[in-house]
Amino acid sequence: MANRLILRRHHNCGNMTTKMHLLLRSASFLQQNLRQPGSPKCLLRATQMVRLCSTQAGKVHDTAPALPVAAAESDAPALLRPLTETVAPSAAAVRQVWVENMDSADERKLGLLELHPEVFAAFPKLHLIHDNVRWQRMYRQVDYAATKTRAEVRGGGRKPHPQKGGGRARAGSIRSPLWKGGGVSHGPRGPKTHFYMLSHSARVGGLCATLSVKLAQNDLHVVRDLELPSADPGLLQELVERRYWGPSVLFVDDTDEMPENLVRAADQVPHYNLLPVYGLNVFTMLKHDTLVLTVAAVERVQERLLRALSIHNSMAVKHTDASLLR
Amino acid sequence: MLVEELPAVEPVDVDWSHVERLLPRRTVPTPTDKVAYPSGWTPQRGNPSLPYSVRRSVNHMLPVYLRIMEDGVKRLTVVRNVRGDIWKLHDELKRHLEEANSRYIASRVNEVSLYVQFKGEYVQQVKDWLRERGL
Repeated sequence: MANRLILRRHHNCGNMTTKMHLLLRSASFLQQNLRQPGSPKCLLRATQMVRLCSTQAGKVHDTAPALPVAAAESDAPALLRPLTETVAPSAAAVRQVWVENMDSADERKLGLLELHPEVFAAFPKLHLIHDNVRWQRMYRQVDYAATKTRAEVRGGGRKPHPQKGGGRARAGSIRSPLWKGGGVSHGPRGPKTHFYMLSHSARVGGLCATLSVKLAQNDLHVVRDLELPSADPGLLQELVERRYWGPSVLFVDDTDEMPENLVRAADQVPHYNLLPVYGLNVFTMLKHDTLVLTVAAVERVQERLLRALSIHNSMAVKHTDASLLR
Repeated sequence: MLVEELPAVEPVDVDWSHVERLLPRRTVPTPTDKVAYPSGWTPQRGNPSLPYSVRRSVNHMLPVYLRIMEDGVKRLTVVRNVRGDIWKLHDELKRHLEEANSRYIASRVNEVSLYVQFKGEYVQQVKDWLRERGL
């Protein structure tokens, strides 16, 4: 549990692989949680998989006239919940991605995964992407510039010379803003924070737009799991280069406890970074050329974003939800 | 107190349904299935034959809105979240509105923000037109 807390506190700054290294160093309990190759989490779910040699590949599925069904509203995160549309997305709208392997440098396609168009085929609204990037930069910005007013500058309590008779301009204090060394009348006043919260819909829309852009530009790849055969950074680099993944790669998993080999290998390379799903943000996604998500991460992102798109009262959204700290 | 001294506990089945139904929902539920709704609302049925569609709002409403500007002088009917061939929707809808109202209607298409705008107050006509097509 302590490891998770460490990661979350630092996850918005600094090198992600350093935090993974911290995770490794701090406890041996990481060893206990190494994912075995045959663990259920690594397997693909039959409901969302399409076989490579499927006979249904050529069929065009017409959208069945689905009448609204009285579904009991539940918070079970297991399956995709229906969105505002009572009609399922058409077959033409659904996006498909290859599921690739990470267990060797050779590329193998393990299957197909279907993605919901609301999340991965959203219109690329550039203004939302810009707003999110700006917000991520500005909300933590503190401007430390500060000047002294004529009242705060040392001295200047006495009238320097009489009002009349000197041939000089009248003056009440040597620290008036007109004088050299005087106070600043309308200067910056103390530390100023540029904190603001972007609206919930804008943040959700930005995430969907960025994921869609990455997918459309062939910069989003899905892998079954992040288990590497060895902790050799050279192997990881060869894997990335052979598949023409960009110079910088972001590996996203649905937990913050990543496989040890990947952690050790990625730690050696500053432009390969690891991120759990709850840390996904527009800035990081744009900063890295390629996104590599696991199947579990894709499912989690999809489920959460679809639910976020269905929220009608954003004021009721809590920003720290216990269910998020999974 | 030692564990042995603590009084025995037994699980009690409590029916929390009367409490749960009062708790606020986090998302808008799917509407119940009915043949006809008194308000005139119709669910989205989908129309795969059309090259366009509109995304309903979070509350399952049609995204057709009236914008009143210039202190009530300027009225614009906006159809938002248009997917697919937005120009096709614009052309067909404009033709329908002009025939129904026997006048020229100025319009605008925004492909980046995915909306279509008509100068005038035609919200109900647009909604009826969309409903006929199951959108």
